[in-house]
Amino acid sequence: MLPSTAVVDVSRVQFAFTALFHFLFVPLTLGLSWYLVAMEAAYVKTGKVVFKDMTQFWGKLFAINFAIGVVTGITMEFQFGLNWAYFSRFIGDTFGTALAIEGITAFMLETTMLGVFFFAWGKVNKWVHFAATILLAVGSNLSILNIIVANSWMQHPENTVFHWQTMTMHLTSLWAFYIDTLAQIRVGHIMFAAAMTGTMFILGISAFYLLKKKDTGFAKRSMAIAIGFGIVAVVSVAFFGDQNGLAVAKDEPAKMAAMEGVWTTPKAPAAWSVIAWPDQSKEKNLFSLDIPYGLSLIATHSLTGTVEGAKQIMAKNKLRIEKGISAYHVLLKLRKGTASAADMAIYRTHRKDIGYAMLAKRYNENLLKVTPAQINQATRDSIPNVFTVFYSFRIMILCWVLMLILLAFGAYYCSRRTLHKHPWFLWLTLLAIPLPYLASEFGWVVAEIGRQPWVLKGILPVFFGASSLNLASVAFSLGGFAVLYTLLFIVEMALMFKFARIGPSSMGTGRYDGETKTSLDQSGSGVQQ
Amino acid sequence: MIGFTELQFLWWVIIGGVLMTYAATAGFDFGATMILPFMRKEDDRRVILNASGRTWDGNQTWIVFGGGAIFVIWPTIYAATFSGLYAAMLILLWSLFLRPPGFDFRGKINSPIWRATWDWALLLSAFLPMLIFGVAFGNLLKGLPISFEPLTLRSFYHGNFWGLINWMGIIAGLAAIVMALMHGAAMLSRRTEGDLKRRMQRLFYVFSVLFLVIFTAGGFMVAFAVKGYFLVHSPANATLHPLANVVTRQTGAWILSYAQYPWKAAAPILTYLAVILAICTLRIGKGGFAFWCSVLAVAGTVATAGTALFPFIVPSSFNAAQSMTVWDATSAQYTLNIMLYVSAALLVVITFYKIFAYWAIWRGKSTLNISDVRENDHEFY
Repeated sequence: MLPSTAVVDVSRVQFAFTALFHFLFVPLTLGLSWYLVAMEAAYVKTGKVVFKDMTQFWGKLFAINFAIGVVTGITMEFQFGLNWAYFSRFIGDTFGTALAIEGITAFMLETTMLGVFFFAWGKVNKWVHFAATILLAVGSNLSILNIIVANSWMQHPENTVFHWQTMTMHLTSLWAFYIDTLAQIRVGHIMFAAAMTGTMFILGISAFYLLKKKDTGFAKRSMAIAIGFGIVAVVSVAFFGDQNGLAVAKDEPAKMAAMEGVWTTPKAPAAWSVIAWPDQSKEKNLFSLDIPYGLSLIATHSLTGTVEGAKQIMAKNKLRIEKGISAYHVLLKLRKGTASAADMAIYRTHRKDIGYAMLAKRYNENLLKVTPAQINQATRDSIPNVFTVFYSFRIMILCWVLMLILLAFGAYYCSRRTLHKHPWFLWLTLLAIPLPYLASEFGWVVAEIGRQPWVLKGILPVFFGASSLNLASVAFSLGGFAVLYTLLFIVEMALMFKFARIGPSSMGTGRYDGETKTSLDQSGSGVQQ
Repeated sequence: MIGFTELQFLWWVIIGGVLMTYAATAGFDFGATMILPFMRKEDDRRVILNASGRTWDGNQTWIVFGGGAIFVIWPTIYAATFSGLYAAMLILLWSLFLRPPGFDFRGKINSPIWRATWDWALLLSAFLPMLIFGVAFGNLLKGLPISFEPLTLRSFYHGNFWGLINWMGIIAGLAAIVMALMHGAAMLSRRTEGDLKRRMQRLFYVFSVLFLVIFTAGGFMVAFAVKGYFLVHSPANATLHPLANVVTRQTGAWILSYAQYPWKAAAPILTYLAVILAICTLRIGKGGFAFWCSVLAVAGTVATAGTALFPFIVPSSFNAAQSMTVWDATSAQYTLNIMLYVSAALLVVITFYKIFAYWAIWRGKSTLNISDVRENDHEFY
């Protein structure tokens, strides 16, 4: 007995909402952690107290962001078991390793060093403190490594075998699981995307201080570091994104077809649709604006390659559903202990298609009695929603282009030492703070909607992975998350705005604009070293 | 590779050890934040908050380790209990939400209403999780109404949240809360000074005696009121296949199992001895020693609950044959083996950097008073 469509849909909405919300905080944690390392390195090397103040001030904003990152992150670990119990049981042997290792290595290191970072200033040697800051950054980034390894395996399940005796996926090599090419590329892509978030955050807030003509020395130094980092990040994120595209074209043709709105396999060299209006029911683009040769160059880096169309993919999937149904029957016999040698031959030939057969279970729980019409319905489900993926991909790219332009201007002004003389540039930089967030969120939508209908590509459909809950429970939890996250978001933003607006004077060192020196605590750690 | 049975047993010990560490470290943070709102003066509240706050994040992470380990080693248990105990898990999760902002945001705005709100939020975020951990363990002793569909092994839960509210659950929940209060008071007796320290010591005496009473009452419940489980036979190589156990049920079966596995008795004995020793050493002014006794008492309590169930992990009250045990709930041998190597190496690393973190933070002065907090006004919570 499978959970109802409504339960599956609400569970999906809840997971998407909590994951996207979590991903508002993660990139800033990751990106800022490296900035803290860079700023403290400058302090340790030069001994200039302004660098220490920079580390502490941006560290304060880091902490506010981190608190909500932790809250929303624990939700994710709970939610696999809460709402996706069948999936969790099915993949615990494999996916669970990465999640557990994340907890043991990354999160543990990160949270422990966070205490040292904030509360051991002046208590330990500055090199020891610097080491703790590096470990804080390493811990944060190990976290994304493990999570992306786990997620990449869901996109492209290699290094595992399905075991009918236990109905689970067994891991064959932990090492191969970690060094999987797709995972490595995506880790690079996301780490630099996070660096972009840190960059735009520091740039935007520093630009605000320059516009207000306060703490200009502090702000200009922060901007200079951010622009230097940002140039590296904006190039690297594109490099890894491009590599990611090549890997998707090779291993996940349905996602590629959706990203580019390709319905029928075009002849090479294929044209790239800059913009189009994909219609899922008619299986074509109602309108499109094309650039010749573009698609072949983007997706395959050649003029002879092409991208498989969604219709061709669906035709293949239909065959796999039909073959998979015969193998699924054998699987049931195996489970009951009544399979013959002839059955085993069928199983061995078609076991890779069992997941496709499960797609038809949505329309008929008894696969023995599935009709051709139901197979056609399942076939239509076997590709993602093209419109969503197509536009999410383009929004991500557009955000990147805008950030690239801003950074180029920033680098130019910075080299001329005229950052403070261009108010329009500073305003745009301030307004551009949401751009990296939008890019990250839509990038995630491309990856996750692009994988539909699978939770484990080609093996386990999403609806099959859901817990057997009733609708009231899931609706209750979604409502609870919505209310609590909204409240947390308001509190977080209020504090973020408050401290960003006050600026470095919030540390009470007596060295910044808007402070009256006598009212401050002169024995504070700021003066100790 | 290490033998499969040995791995299964070893992982039961390791996961138990992680949960014990969680209770013994995050336990005192839970206790401290339950005591905090009852202090009248803001100065006392800040001392308590900072005595626990600077390391609480790292302590809390043991639950993530525990959850992750259960996910990879016992995926069936992770899946069946988290989805089965849906409402209880959500209350646990949602109350934990209040914790990071409670610590981190409270001190950032200097307003009595803002701070009082977070004080009560912190109280809830300690009280509810401890209650749920306790109630959950109490209900494990009674078994959970879980079943599996034999062909696909999909799990079903035949009950609801209210089914968890029963005498065994309530007593175990109370024991967990009082245990955390005792442990929090032990930590604060060690980390604070002057009048506050004396009050914390008095609280420790009250909570430790209360804890012994409830712990003993729980023992009597298990012996005379709870229908325990006895594993007669389990099929060989039953990995992730909890369908064909032969199980009998009778009142007091958990206590009878101590005759079969005499080593289990070590856990409750340790708990009693540690609490009594903690009371004695605190009376002669050895606060540090008393704290470590309290650590052992907390670890002993968790161990008592876990070992009482052995070899079961989650018995099924719906269909006892489908109970999840140490022998049939684990992942495959390769994963158990490689994860053992990975976690053994990492646990060594963790131990070193945890010691480093506590050393760096408590360096020079191992107690805290209000002037220490005021000196670091812009950094401390």
